[in-house]
Amino acid sequence: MKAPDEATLRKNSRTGTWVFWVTIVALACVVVAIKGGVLRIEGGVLMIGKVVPQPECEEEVVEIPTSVLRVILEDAVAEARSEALFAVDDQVDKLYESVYAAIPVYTDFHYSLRGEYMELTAVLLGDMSEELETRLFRDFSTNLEITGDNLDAVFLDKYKEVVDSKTREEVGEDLDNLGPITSAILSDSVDRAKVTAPMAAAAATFAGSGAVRALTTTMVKTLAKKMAAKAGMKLTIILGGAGGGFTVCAWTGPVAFLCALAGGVIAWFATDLAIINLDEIMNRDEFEADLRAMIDDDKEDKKRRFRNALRTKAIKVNDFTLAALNGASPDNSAN
Amino acid sequence: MAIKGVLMTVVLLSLSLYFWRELYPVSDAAAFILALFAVILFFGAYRPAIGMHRAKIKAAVISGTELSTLLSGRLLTAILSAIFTLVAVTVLAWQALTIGREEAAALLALCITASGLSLWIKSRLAGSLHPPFAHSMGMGFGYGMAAFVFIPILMWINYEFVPHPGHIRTSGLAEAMLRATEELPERGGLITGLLSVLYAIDAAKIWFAVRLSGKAGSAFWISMLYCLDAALVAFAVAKSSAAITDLFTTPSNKGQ
Repeated sequence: MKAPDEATLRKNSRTGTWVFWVTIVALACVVVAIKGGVLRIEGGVLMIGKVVPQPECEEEVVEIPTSVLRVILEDAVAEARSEALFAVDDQVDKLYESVYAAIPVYTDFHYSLRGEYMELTAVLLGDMSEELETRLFRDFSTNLEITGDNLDAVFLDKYKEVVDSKTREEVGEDLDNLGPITSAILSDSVDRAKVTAPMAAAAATFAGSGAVRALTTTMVKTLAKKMAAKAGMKLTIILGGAGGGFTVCAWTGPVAFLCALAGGVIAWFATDLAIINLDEIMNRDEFEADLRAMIDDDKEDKKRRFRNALRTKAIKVNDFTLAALNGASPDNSAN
Repeated sequence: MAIKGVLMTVVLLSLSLYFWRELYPVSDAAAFILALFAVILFFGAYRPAIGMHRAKIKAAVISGTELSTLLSGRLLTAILSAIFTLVAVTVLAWQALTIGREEAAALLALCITASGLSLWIKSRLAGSLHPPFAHSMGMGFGYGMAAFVFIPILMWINYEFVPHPGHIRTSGLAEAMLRATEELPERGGLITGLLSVLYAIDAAKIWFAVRLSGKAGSAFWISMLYCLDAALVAFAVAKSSAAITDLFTTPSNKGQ
C-alpha cells in the first residue's frame, strides 16, 4: 500500500478529465436526441428514430345533433350545480375549522390580565375589531377565496365528467372521430364553465366588502357590554380600597393621600385578578357559546352566499350554452 | 488539480440535473440523463469503498487460503454503491424538479463545499493513514461535515422561501398528498411512480407543518419534519459531489 507517484497522478488526472468530457458529450447527445424526438419512451418502451407521420386515413366523423347536445350540456350544468351545492357544507365547514379552533385560545387570552388590558386599550383606541380579526380570523379572506376555488373545481370536474360520459353514450368510446362542430361546442362549453362567474371572485366580493370586519364589530358590541359591567364592579371595590386605605393611612398625617393611593393601586390589581378568575369560572362557557353562536350565524351566511353564487354561475353557464347552440350550424340538427 | 476536480463536479452535477429538469416534462427518455449520471455516481462511490473493503479483508484474512480467494469485497461494495446510487439519484431528481432559486444556490454551495472539503481532508490524512483509509475516511469526513453545516441552512430556506400550496390549509392529508402528485406529468411508469412517492411525502410534511403551526409545543415537531427532509437532501448532494470529485481526481485502486 504505497502512495501513488507523480506519473500515476498525472495519468489519473488525464483519465478523470477524459471521463468528464466523454460524459458531457454523451449528455449533449442524449439532450439533442430527446429534444429532436429521436429518443423517446412510449408506453414504457424505448423508441429510437424519428416518428414518421402516418398518412391520415379517411374516418367517418360524427356530429351530435344540436337538440341532443343541448340536453347533454343542460344535464351537465344541473349535475355540476348539484354536486357543487352539496360540497358547499363540507368546504365551508372546513373553512371555519380554524376559526372555531381559535375560540378557546381567544377565550384564554380574554380571561387573562394581559388580555384584559390589551382589550381595554384596543377599545379605547377603537381597534378592538382588528384585534378580534387578527386573533380569530387570521388568513380568513385568503382561505375564503381558496374555498371558492375548490367549489369551482368541484363544479368543473363534475361538468367535464358528465359531458364526457354522455358524449360517449352518444358516439361510443372513441371520441377522436367527433365532428369539428360538436368538438368546438363541447370544448367551448367546458372553457365557459371554467371562466364563468368564478366562485373565488364571488368569495372575494363578500370577503372584501368588510364582511369579516362587520362580524367582528358585532362581536365587539357583545364583549364591550361584558367589559363595562366588569369595570363597574371593579371601580366600586377599588374606591372602597382607596377609601379604606385613607382611613388606615390617617396616622401617616400629611402623606395619608399618597398612602391611600398606593392602597388603591394594590387593591386595583388584586381585585382585577380575582375578578378575572371569578368571571372566568362563572362566564367562560357563556362567553365561548356567544362567540360560537355568532360564528355559526356567519358560517350559515357564507354558505347561503356561496349557494347563491353557484346558482348564478349555473344560470350563466346555461345561458351561454343556449346561445352557443343557437349559433351552431342549422344543418347540424338534421344529422 | 483540486480546483479543476471541484469545477468538473459542479459542471457535471448541475448540467445533468438541469437537463433532466428541462426534459422530463417532455419525455420519460430524460431518464437517460439520470442513467448517465448514475453510472458516474456508482463508480465514484464504488472506488473509495472497494479500497477500504480490500484493506480490511487483507488485514483480516490470511492470504493464500480458500477464504481469501472467495472474499474480494467486490460484491458487497457493488451492492452498497448501487443502493446509494439509487437513493441519491432519486432524491436529486426529485429536488431538481421542485427546487427554487434559493435552494438551488444553497445546494450548489454545498456541492462545492463537500467536494473541496473531502479533497482537503483526504490530503491531510494522507500523511497519517494508509491510502485506502485516508481516501475513504477523508471523503466521509469531508462530505459529512459539509452536510451537517448545510442542514440548518436548508431547513431555514425550506421553511422561509418555499411557498405552500393554498389548498393545503383546507384539504385533508390524503387529498393534499394526491394533489401534490398531480404536479407530475400525466404519465405512468416507474419514474413517475418513484417521484410521486417523494412528492406525496413532501406534501405530507407541509400538511403536518401547517396543521401543527401555532400549537403549543409544535416547534420541535415542525423542526424535526424539516430536519429529516433537509438531512436527506444534504447528505445525498454532499456524498454525490464528493464521490464524483473523487472519481475525477484520485488514482485508481488497482494494485493496492
